[in-house]
Amino acid sequence: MRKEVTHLYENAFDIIIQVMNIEKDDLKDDDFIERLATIPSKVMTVDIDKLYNERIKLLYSEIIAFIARIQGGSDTQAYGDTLYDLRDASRDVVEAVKDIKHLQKNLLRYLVASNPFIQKEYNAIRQRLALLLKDLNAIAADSDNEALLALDGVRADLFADDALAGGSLDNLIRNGSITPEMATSLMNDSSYAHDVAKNLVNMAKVIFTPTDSMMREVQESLVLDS
Amino acid sequence: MKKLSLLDKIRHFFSKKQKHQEAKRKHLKVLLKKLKKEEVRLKTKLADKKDSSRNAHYERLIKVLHQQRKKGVALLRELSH
Repeated sequence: MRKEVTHLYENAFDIIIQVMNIEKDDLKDDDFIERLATIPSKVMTVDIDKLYNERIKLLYSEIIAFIARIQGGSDTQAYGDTLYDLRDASRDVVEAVKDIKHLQKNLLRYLVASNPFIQKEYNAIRQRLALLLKDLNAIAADSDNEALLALDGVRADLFADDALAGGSLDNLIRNGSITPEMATSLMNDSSYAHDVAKNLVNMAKVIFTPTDSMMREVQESLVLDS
Repeated sequence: MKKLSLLDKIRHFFSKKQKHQEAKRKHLKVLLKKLKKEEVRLKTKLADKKDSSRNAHYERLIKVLHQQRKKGVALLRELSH
């Protein structure tokens, strides 16, 4: 079941990077943040509804149905809380894709906008989500399996230099660099991007967590309160 | 089968708990060494990089590792008593 949820995440990952106009190979490169600072000259539109139906919806339904069948069976106790955690993790993946759908319209619009200020802010959202996906990839591939501790680092990074949190949005409005309409969009979309990140981190806590109970116990005792 | 006396049951409970704590202590020591190594690695990277956003990223990670190690050292002390 964990494998299936991981598969669901991998499908969601592919959709998210396509929407963000990020090449998969970009995430392998160490200097990708610097490279993503360059705003793409043209952006590709993907049919997210089609991708959702093809790669998420069916798999998600099957996961939910399978979990429901096990819960109806006699040996439910053998699975403990794992089943509920996996069900929640699948839901987090689905929510992340839905949030990225909300973000898509303005992202594509403002990445190619003539206003360099709004363009820069939307590209920053793109960079932050790319960094998150790269970190999650590294955690998934980590053979030492210290996911729970690594996720603390991811959480600290999440939107540390967000336009809303840092106050730069206020400056942009005050200086007339962006219109009130742009500011509203940016506020909403920053919130969507934050939700994408939060959902993926919650999913990672379940999917990439150590299976060895002692290792998990030790890591849990070192995890910082978020 | 011989029934365990209450004293045996208590002994068994504490010996099991002790074994668990010892295993936890060993795991924790290994993990703390790894965290320290990672902190040193990131500090070296921080010194190498001139890019400010990348440096801010490293600084945040170093801070997290430092806090985790602090928590770990306190726990190790507790387990060693």
